[in-house]
Amino acid sequence: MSQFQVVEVSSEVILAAARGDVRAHEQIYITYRRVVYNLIRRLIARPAVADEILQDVFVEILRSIGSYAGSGSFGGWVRALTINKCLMHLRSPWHRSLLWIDAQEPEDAANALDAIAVQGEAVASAGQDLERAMATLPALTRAVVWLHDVEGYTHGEIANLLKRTPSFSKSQLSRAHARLRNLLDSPDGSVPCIPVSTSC
Amino acid sequence: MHPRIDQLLSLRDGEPVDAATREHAESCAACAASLHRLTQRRHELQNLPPFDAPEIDYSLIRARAAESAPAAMNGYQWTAVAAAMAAAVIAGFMAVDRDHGAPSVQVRSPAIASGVGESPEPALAQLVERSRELDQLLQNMPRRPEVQRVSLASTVDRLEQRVQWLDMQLSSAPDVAADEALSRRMWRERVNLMDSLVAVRYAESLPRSAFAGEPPG
Repeated sequence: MSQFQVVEVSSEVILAAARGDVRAHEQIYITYRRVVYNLIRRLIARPAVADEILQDVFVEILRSIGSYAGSGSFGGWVRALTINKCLMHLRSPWHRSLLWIDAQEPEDAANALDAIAVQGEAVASAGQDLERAMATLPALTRAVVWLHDVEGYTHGEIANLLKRTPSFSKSQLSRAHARLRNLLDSPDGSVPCIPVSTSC
Repeated sequence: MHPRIDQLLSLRDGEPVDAATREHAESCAACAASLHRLTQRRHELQNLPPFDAPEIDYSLIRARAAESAPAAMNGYQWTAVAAAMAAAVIAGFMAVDRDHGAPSVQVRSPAIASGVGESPEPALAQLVERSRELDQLLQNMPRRPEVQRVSLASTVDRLEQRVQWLDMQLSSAPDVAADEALSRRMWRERVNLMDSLVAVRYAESLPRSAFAGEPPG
């Protein structure tokens, strides 16, 4: 379950924040800081970048809180803003020049999975856990897994966020789970039952 | 034949799967175990320990928010400003090279030539598709130069921030999803902003000779 469903501030605080009340702003920051940062770190592996995005998110909340219509949950609004900040970073040419986040192209996907497999051997042999295995996934793939399996987004919603198709989201989720299975469930090299789908 | 992992995930998530796949997964011990493992994996992901947030001086955030006060412009004004900024940046490039003796300028970016802006009322699907194309185009552009003009970096930053705000509204605001006219207006603004962004990035990526034309004989 998404942590954003657990954390909540009162509507009075939100209204006060929208009017520019500094104490209400700070209360929102204190309430959401942890869940926002946790979501950022799940989508953005580098702590330094995550710290910057954490600041950006709260700056954006302060700037845009007047546009929050109040029709949905405030936590959902904060979560959407956080995800957009992270995806904006992942889509940026600066990030793309450093990492292979786009596994849509078959060759890129193959290269990416090969790279993960090499890393995966080390991870498995070192007895690392799910967290480390997740960290070996390409950023976009990891984002799909987190948004779908933890935050509860549908493939259609993820496709909308990523400006891709639902089948892209599905294929990323499948590849990710196949990889996690290989990393975590078969360290002894046994043949898994599940064939990996190569179709996008 | 064992189901593929995407079929098992569909089963796990309650999505439609064909009857044969469902029957197999129920009768095959290996696949039932795989399905259970996928369910367990999701549970493990949901229960990973949270990261500790860094200690950030809240006054820094407040100061930054105060520096960049919320924009009071509406979508049309934003579009106009974006187009003006893009035109100004491109014109600036051209002027600089003209000052260096270049006689003619023949530049037309692929984004500017897009055509969406010429249609009075494009369909929502067209706007979404065009927006996606522009995203793709932007992603495929060359890496930005390490040394950038301040005005250009600022223009790109403002355009990206506005696109980001639109993305948030389009993906999360229930009012937008329910109102097709509003949704279309926002997608149209996004397309125009992306057009401008691509135009600026395109101009930035061109070698100076592209603005100067052929050197005199």
